[in-house]
Amino acid sequence: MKKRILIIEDNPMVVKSLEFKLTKDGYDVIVAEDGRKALEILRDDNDSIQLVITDLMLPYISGTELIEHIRNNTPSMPIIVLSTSNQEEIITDAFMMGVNDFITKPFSPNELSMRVKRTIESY
Amino acid sequence: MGTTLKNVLIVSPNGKLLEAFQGFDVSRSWEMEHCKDSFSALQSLKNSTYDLIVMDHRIEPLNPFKLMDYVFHELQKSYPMVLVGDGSEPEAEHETYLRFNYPIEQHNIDAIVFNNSRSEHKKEEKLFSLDYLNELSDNDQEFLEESILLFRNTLDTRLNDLKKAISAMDFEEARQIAHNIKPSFDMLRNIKGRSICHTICYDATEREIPNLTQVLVNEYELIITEIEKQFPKLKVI
Repeated sequence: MKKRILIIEDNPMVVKSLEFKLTKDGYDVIVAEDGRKALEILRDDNDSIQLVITDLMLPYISGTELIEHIRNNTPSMPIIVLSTSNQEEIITDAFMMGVNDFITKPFSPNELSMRVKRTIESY
Repeated sequence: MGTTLKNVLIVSPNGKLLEAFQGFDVSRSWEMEHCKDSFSALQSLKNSTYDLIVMDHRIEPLNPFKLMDYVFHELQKSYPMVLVGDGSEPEAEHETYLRFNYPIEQHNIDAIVFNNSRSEHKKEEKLFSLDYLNELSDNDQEFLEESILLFRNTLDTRLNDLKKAISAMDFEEARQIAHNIKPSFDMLRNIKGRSICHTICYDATEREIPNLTQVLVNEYELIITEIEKQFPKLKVI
């Protein structure tokens, strides 16, 4: 059975690229364009999701709030942050919140594949 | 680089800026023309070509950005620009211009010279490249065309949203939109668009955001024109 990944991202080009690459890598991908939709999906479909990939700056509910919510409700859910920022402070803060990995946009396709595989296999 | 920087237009309400530039060895060798207001500058820009425009931030009736915007749209010319201010805002280097404060010092001249040499180099850069999307999709033509369409359609909408946010003086929203669209420019390897988005998001003052947005819109239009040249069938979709 295919592993399912929830992508939370509001740039359609990034979403399309992630969907294309991850589907090709054999994953089942679902997308939420904002934090509110992501919460709905996590509420209704939490058990079927094996990995969350999220941006930090999102409409309605920020990525940070979302990560906090996931950590409080599903502490073992693997999370990868995908952000345009490569500032050390932002990366450190993300890891302090308990995310499992951090990738900067635009992502390197091979690096994404490897990091996703490693994160999913570790949990 | 001093080899390529020759004709310089100085626009300032008085002779102070011209005098300042005549005080350095490097800039003394430039052919400098002085205009006291933006209308006479516009006349000069219609008749001649320059390597650099240096403007006092107080010029009237068109401010420096409006003048350059007019030049871009009406004369279809684009020039490197230096803004000289009164110290109310920090000196800065943006993708499209340098900003200094009075008094002009040697390091400002050095920055102009350095920036000009870099601009010469940048002229070689393409408006967009599909290398990243090709690498990602293993040259999947359908994915490529869909991604280009997505770029055109979403940027069209988001740049309009950006203009609306600026009209509503909602600069927080403007910065968020710039953050959101930055990866789109990145994925087409357009460094200028990416850099302007970054500047709007993190560095620009509220006063600078409208003009930077206009430069971003201009860059977007240039990309689309080039895309439609290379992919004529996408023009009608």
